[in-house]
Amino acid sequence: MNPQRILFALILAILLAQDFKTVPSRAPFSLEIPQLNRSGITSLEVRIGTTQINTVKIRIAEPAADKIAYERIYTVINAESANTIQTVKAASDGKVVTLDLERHERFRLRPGKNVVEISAIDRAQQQYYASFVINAGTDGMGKPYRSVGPVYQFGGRRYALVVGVSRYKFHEGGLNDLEYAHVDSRSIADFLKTRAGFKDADISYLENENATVENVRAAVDLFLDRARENDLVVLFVASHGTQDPFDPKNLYLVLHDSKVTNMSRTALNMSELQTLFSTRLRAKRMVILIDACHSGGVDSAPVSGARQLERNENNTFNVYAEKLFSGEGRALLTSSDVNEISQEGKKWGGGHGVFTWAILEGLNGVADVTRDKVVTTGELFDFVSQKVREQTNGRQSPRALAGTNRDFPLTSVRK
Amino acid sequence: MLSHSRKSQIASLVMFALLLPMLLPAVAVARRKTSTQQEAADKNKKDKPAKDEKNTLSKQERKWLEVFKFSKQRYDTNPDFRLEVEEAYRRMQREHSEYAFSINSEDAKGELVKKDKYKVKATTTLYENPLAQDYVNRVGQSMVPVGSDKLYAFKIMLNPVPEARSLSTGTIYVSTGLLASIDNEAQLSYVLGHEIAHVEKEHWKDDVLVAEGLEDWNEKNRQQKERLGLITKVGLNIATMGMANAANITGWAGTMFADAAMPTIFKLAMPDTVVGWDRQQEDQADEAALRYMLDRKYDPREVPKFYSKLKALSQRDKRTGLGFIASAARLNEREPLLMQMIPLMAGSATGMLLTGAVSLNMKNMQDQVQETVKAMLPKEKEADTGKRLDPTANAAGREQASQAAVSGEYSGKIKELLDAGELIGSSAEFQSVMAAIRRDNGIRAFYYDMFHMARENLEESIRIRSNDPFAHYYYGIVLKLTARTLGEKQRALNEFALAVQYDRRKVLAEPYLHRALAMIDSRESHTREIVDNLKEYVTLYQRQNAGALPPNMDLIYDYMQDAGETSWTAIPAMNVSTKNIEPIGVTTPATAQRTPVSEPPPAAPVTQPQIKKPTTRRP
Repeated sequence: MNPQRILFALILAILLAQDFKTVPSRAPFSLEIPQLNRSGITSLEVRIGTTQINTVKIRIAEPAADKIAYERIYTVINAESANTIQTVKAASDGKVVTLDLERHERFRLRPGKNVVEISAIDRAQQQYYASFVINAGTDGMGKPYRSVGPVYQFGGRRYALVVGVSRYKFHEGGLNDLEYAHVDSRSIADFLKTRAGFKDADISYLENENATVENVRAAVDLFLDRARENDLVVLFVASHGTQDPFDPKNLYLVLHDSKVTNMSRTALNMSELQTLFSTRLRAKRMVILIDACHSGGVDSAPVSGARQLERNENNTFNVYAEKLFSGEGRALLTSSDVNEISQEGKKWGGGHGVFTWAILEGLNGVADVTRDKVVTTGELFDFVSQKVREQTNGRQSPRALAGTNRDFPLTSVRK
Repeated sequence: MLSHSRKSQIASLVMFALLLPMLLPAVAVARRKTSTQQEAADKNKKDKPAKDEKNTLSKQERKWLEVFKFSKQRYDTNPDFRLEVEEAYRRMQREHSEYAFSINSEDAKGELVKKDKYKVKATTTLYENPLAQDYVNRVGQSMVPVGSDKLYAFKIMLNPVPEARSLSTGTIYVSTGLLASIDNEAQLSYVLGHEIAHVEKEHWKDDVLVAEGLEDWNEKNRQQKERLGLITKVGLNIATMGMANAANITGWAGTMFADAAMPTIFKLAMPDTVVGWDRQQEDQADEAALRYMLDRKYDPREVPKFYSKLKALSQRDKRTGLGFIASAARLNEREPLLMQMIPLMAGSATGMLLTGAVSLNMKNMQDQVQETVKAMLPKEKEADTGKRLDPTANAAGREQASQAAVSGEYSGKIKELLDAGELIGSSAEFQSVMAAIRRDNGIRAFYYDMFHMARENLEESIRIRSNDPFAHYYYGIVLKLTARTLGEKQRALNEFALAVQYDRRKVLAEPYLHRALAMIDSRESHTREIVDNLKEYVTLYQRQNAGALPPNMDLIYDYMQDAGETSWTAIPAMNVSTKNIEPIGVTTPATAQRTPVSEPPPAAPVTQPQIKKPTTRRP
């Protein structure tokens, strides 16, 4: 046959194929798990039956791969840089990033959801980002908590900052109002006042129009000056939370006057909070409850002039929040796991987020599994995790990080 | 498709014909030609390229070549001369060994150690990171050509100036500064391969050979003696005698600047003005390094990127340009050369040329490349005749032919490796080691006030390994020192907070000091926290320094005084107890509460552990 004709046919075929090919949403990245013979994974979440995976590969397809240098590829597993386990090889159809999970203990897959993120920058400074959730095993729950020691008798003062934002001033960028966030915050504040021994003056309550970035900052400042070493600080936030898509460790709380189109200026950067807490807060005990991934949340966060975040990118807010606020004396409970949406609805206490509803139930005494009339952090966290899972048929699973504060008493149960 | 590949094949042959060891200047000249000159050149295409090359060699180079040929011949024919050369070479090798010994035996205490809070170790020493040393040695050993009868050792020196050195002993030193500017394992393999090639090809011996032959040659060429003797001898004297000087100057290692002032000891650091001929050895080493790389499946397309990065580095900070492979002028030359060699091997001419490099000078480079390509295209017809590729033609032609054949082989190999997906760019091991090297080099660069390098190195170190408290701490220091805006200061504080968060062992005292300083700086008064942080700083500092107090303790007391703490004192030296320092990460409310209440006498837990245990329940 005439070689020129073959060539022509070939070109035509390629052109046609390109015309009809649907662009994969995670381009140019796709995930491979060689051990399970799975490749070309572009879905947000992949469920596998085991945590015993030794290698995960991410393929970077052409033409992007050719423009991305070996050293401009960065991987992150469960919010920790994974470049130290990353090998990159070139193939004729792209570059292949191999992650050797067994190389360092901290990168082994955990039961439950694991987040693998990859970002790359090409010659033209174009950024690429994708995250994959590997759901290893069906049950992410640890062993149920059993208290072993006597509960620590708390003698200090209790301070709380409670923020709930249902109504937002600016709706550009797909920011939706919420229905029950302010109800949640109100209930929590009420509970703390009436049942948990918080003095009126020690609760800073900010709702909707009052919950501006400036006000929240000022309220945080207040604690920094007032709380003493042996006091307790509770932070409760019900609102939208989101992250910088190309630098997911940058978390933002979207408050009443925040603009999604200009997050860095108008939203509250959570690492700013973290720095304030760690450098200025005297109180050694802190319980942080965040219900920040509401349904209908920010579905397309525009990025510094570069490009729109794909609508279907994974939500990794919780895993980074956990990282950010972990530390001595900190107990953190977030409403949902990676890639999950926090639900709210009428059926939970007549109109609540399921997360807050479970917290209220738990604090009311249902969580007191040891029946010592005291609800500890550990008890509450376990209860909330389990309850929320139950109520949502496993679609929402709070992430709990009680750390060394499991035996810390939150309320005493009145019968 | 077909026509394209054929075209590129022809193009590669033609291009390679121009790219013989001495082709650099030829290319340079070709590039310099204006278009009119080019047209003129086209008309004269019967001129042999070899003649072009000869014309473009500098006088020195030609003389060196002449001397080299003469000496080589004499070496082969005259046994006395041969003995002399061997003897001189042995002498030089011994000096190299001595130099190596002096470096190897130097320990941290022998240096100009200024033990302040930053723990500066000021000198050029081996980098004390066995894992990194192992790794570089392993990669190096794997690059040694199969069947080589030489033995090699690869070592890392802690020095922010990017440089690599080879000794005739087979020792190859790479500085952390160079390693930190290497992007990936492929580039590392190239650097090591290049140095191996110098040893493998006995370039040191060639130097000695020429030095020894020079005098005899001068006698034979009396007319040239005046000029050449003056110039070349100066260079060679430095080259051969510098060694002895280096061994004698003890303060030499004191600073890197002194180091850079003695570049002639080393193969790769000779000043261009004196020894322009050195580039031939460099070109040979380049070529060999590429071959070694491919044998080990490393991606040779990384090499031009490496040079362009080095160039960018040296343009920004002149200090980093010192020492490495050659002067800035050479860097400029070498990059285009490699740019041309590699596309040839990859088998597609212009496409690769334009996509093969990342550079701050991208535009500039593209222009160069395009000009080069333009300059070469007219000669395609000449190659079409196949005359110059005739294996029966002259020696130069044969050499070209063999080169072309080799380049053909490379191209196949690269394709094969790409198809198998086996072309290695970067490895986990490289990144692991690099996280540490970048951090340590960043720290050291910081002490040399090379802020850009320090900042970039530390930033990168954190990006590839996020849980390193030291990297966070030093990055915070650099940020803080160079911060201009409030946001930058905030970021610095953030890094200190991260350092504390990851420092579970509590070995870093300084972040606490910086926190206290930040609080003193802020307008709000947090007197209590200031004092607490200062105390924490002193306590941890003492634990890290055998009970010694910080050198600036009087100032710390000053700060405390201002913050209202007027009576607290730290107990200096020796008798500092660690018993009140809380173990890290295991503080629970229970223990925090209990410890002050029921502190048992120190002997109790030792003598009666059985009794104590049951009473204290696990928190």
